[in-house]
Amino acid sequence: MSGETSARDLFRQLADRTLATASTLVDELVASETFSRALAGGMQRVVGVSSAARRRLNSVGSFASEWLNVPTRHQVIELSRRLNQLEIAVDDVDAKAAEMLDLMDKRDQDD
Amino acid sequence: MTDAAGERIFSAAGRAWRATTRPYRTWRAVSTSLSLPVGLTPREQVWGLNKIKLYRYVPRRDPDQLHAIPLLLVFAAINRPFLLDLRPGYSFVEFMLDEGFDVYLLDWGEPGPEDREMKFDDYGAEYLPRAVRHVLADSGSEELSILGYCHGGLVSLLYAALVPDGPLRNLILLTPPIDMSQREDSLLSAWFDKRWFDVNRFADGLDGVLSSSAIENGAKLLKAVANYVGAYVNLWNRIDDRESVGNWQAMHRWIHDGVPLPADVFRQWVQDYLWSNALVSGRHVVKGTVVDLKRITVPILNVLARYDHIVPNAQSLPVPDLVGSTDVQTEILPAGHIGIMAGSRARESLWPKVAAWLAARSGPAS
Repeated sequence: MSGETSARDLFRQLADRTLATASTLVDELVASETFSRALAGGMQRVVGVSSAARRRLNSVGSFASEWLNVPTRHQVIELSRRLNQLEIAVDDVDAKAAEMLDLMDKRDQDD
Repeated sequence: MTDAAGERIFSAAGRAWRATTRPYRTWRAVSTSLSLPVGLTPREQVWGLNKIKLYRYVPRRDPDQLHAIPLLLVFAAINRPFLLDLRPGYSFVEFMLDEGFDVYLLDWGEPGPEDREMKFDDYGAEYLPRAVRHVLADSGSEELSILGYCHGGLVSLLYAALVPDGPLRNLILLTPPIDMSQREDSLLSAWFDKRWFDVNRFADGLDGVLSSSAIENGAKLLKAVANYVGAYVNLWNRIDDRESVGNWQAMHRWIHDGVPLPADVFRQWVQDYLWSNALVSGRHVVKGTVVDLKRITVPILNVLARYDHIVPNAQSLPVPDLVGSTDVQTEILPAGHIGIMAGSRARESLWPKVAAWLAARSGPAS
């Protein structure tokens, strides 16, 4: 039994050391300038390719939506933006109304 | 057969069963973690705007036994805030409620393509002041304390500087990324260096938002082996400990349940904060007002995590010199960026420290 346990412990120690070594190596790699350049370049390329594909897809989607007489994605996003702005305006009005009510309460108390 | 022999056979059979089923149980723990119930402390929504929601947790004490000053929790916008309320028994929110605080949580929600023009400053200059107003209206208090975690700390500091004569009574900053001139240990500064990263080209190419999976993998890459391999080895090793597995699952869910970031928020953060360090250098202008951190005079508790690999200590340490407050306390705790709040020792280290500091500055709770 003790032989089993020690074999398991040895295996665990080996696994821990392997992980620690790999971690040190990979941490050094991701901190290098070469990696930073490659990552930045890769991110920009992926976004460049996906945005071109998305533009194409959007134009097809817009054409299909117009043909089906339903709102396009762009129109829905615009509507959502305007609703957000409206919500902010309502919150502003709510703030002003609360401020006025406070002032009126204070005035009543002074009177 | 003797009792001892029978016991040995049962024990061996149990070990064999556990060893045989370990891969299945580990796989099952991983696969069910994303549906694990989290953030279960009772709360009610008191306000909402766009995707943002303001919650008030149901107090655990009678109103006359609560601290007079409510506490607003402001989390980073790139993650869900349930890290502050992971599981019953492992929840910072629960702890603060038990300590007699009236706790509010600001959830930034999940932005969509319609939010693409939102700026980083909007969090602190547009939305946080509104949330503060609603906290005050709901609680009936004239003042409040704010706890800002990570980017939530940056947002809170921005708010405090923009509204220096406002209702803010106390400010707690947890691992806030403030001084970006300290770049030595910052991998994000290296990855997004302006010599090779064209943020405008990148942000313009996004579909309105930087996806949560991109943010998640970027964060994991900061400690790649620990996050992609070590986390699962830890689960494998602790699979027989039910409590440990529950905590692991909750953290796993939190890590994999991120939120996207509006494209212009990312652009501004890189350009104005990461590259120009404009906030610290006094060149940051929001809605025509220069952000002057020296105008902040409220008491500040600045808490850092010694082993933080996301926000290096050097980015948070200068806070006392940057603000105008005389009551600034800096604490460096032996934990990582997430472990400081959700680690197994948070209950004995961070939570009581925050509660004690705040209690001394929040009015009486009997």
